[in-house]
Amino acid sequence: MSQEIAHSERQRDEDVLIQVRDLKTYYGSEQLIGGRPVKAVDGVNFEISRGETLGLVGESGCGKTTLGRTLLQLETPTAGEIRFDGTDITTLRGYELKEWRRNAQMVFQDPDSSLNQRMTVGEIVREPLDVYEWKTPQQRRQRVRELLDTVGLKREHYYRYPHQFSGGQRQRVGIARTLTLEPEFIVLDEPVSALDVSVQAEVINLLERLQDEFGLTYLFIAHDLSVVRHISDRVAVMYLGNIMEIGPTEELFTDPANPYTRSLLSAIPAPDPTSQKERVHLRGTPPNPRYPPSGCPFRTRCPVRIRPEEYEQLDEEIWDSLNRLEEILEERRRSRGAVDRFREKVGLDTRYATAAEIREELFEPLAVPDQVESVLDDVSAEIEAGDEMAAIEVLQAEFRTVCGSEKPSHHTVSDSGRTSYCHRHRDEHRDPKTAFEERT
Amino acid sequence: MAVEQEVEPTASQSEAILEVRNLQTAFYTDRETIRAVDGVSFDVVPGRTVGIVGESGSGKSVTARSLMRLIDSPGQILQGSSIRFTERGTVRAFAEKFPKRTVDVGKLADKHDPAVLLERPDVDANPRTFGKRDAAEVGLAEILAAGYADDLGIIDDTDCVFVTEGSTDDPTAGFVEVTRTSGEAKRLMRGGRIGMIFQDPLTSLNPVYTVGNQIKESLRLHQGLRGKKATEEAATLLRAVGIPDARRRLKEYPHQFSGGMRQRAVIAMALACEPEVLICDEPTTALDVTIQAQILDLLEEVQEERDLGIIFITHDMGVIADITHRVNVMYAGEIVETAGVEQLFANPKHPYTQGLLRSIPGQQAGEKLETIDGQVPTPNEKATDCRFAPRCPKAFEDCEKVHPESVSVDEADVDHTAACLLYPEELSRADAVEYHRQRGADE
Repeated sequence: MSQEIAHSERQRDEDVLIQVRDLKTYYGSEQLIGGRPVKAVDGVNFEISRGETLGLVGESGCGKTTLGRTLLQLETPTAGEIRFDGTDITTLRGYELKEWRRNAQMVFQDPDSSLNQRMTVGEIVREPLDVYEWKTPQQRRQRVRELLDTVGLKREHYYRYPHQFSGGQRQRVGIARTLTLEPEFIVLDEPVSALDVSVQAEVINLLERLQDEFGLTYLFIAHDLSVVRHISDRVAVMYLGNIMEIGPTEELFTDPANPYTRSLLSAIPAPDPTSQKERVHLRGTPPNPRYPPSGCPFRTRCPVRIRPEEYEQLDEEIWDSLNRLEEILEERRRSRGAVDRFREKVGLDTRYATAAEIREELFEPLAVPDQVESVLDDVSAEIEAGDEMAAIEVLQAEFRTVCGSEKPSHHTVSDSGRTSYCHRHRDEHRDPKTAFEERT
Repeated sequence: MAVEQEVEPTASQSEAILEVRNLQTAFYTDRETIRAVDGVSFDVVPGRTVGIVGESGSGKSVTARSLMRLIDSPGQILQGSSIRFTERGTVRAFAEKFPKRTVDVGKLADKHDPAVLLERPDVDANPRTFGKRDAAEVGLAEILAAGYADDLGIIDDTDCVFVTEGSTDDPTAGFVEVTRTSGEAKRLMRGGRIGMIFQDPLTSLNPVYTVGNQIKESLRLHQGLRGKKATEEAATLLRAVGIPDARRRLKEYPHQFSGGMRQRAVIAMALACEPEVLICDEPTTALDVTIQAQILDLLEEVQEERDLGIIFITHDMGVIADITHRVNVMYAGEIVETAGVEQLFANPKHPYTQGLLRSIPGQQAGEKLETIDGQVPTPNEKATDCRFAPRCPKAFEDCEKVHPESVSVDEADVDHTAACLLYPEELSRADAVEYHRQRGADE
């Protein structure tokens, strides 16, 4: 019953402050020619309404910080557009860009490295005013004192240095600095991760108060999901440069549609020792963003990946071992250097285990059906021949499905316009929730 | 004369393999003395996990480092502290290896009466130092362990193995006093009996050696394995902690591992020494939740397999709820509340614990979060008041004058204690204050 939509084109009123279309930010390749770029942000679409808090969550390395920095034009996007109040800011240059930047500010994770230890708190907070030559110096000082008040510091803190403050207070200084030019939009990059719970609560309360007072719009980046749940109106879940699911907070937390969201949420330890929550086990780490998997970015770790029909009944553990086999081969293919190749050619011992050893490690105690066994024989032959690429191809030819061959698209999964990036929302497959129930 | 056993109310007492008693660790600088750990007591039981939770600066990590004897100058574990390793196999092994440093407490007790010893002017201790009211209740072993015997001159400086039952040749009960170990005994205890993993795995991994070499080093030092055998064992260990393609991984360097893999490798290194107790100091704080879940599962798995006693230090209440069986809540160097994990979450008694639990961003969006104003103080002197009083919403006048002692706060569970003047609940406030004053004055 899910329906496909081209651009998650939810027509909201003119209340939309930020509109992001097919945004991509790639980092340069290692080699001069022909290298592969790191696809930190790989085509995302979303909107943020005025006065809203959009939470952005994901594991480290998923591209959430890059996305935040790109929105502020601290990174140059490779493709796509960012409309801020209707203007495409990716085209702004020089004076226009500087003027626009008044509207958008950033709070960083670590106040130690984002505050200059040699400047007084007053100078730090005043610096943006100096840069934009705002009114007279006297008025600037006055404004800074008011701001210190606003964020819960004392006016006489003007002449103190950052090291004289606690972590929570330093984060308040960082927040005061972002407010100087009365921005509309603030990117908060893990603003409370470095703080203790009780201090964290204070800073969160402050951020919420400021939002009400000044009508601010937040992009709140964090890996702590309970904080995000508390502060966000809507949440976007990122994985390997893609938004996997985006929608209203409570709905997303209580009834996650995307397999990744479901896995991520189930990994949070609840502060309740009696909870009998069944954890979804995600194995391994996210793949290298320089070599993202084909098709769906999450397919290598997905607990409910679509399987070929003839293998539907295959044992869970065998699937697990097959996945690991592919991972090992993939990793070897990339890490094998010229020296290794040479040693192999002349028959010296290499640091790699033989095909037989790998098979023993992965499949030894399992009852592998003949059909799979014969595929493994072919794979082994290719490994012995030293061609991991061919081995991977043999594996994929046998076990690949739509998850590996096609990129999914965003499907609307609820009335509120929440969308999820997964093949399982298509009519011909069972949806992720049913699939989870079946496989556990 | 029989040697007294510990009478502290711990249900698990008989099974404990590590008993920490009145641990005090201070740092002396020109400007001030910092009493980072100030009288901490708890037990570690095999197959169970005891959590230590608190804000930064509460003394969690110093406690862990004290157990590992990793406190360097200007830090010092103070006299009166005792860390007793009571696991029988260890006591036996140590008694055999260090016969000259082994003391038969029974024989010594025939010559010395603890009550008389405590009366001597050159001893700076009284029954309260050991949590007892009466000198008759204090055991000789306790006086020896806490380091007062040196003053008395009845044992040698280097003595660290104390046999309380059986002979020194065939001990059936006793303990190794960790605070008294030195040289070889200290090295065997650290790592070999008590292992530790740190928050940042890179601090425990040497970047210029392969992971395999580092695991093999542990195997050589603590199990005497070398060559092919060591390599085999190292690969088995890596597999056991869930690292695939172990043989290749052994030849890789730490930078080639991902964060979660590194923490797994460090756990493998700690396990290589086959410790009885594993201290985990915020091992998952730097990791993503998905990886954290993997590491917590792994720890539970190895705990079950090896019957490990785990001390788990964290500031994350979610992790505490997930992995621990018992929890100690620390504040400014003291344990302010201790209870079984379910008890603590269901029925927190100390105002600090209550505040800590309430400031966790809840399951519901919208409402304002409760906060605990102010910061953890740095304790410079022995406490004469409640260190939490300035931040406590329930504080009253006496909180600044009387130091709260740990009292049982739950009739159903004697093991649930809190150090707060509001308890014991059945007494009137004035009586409760008087009760704490009395117990404090004994000291």
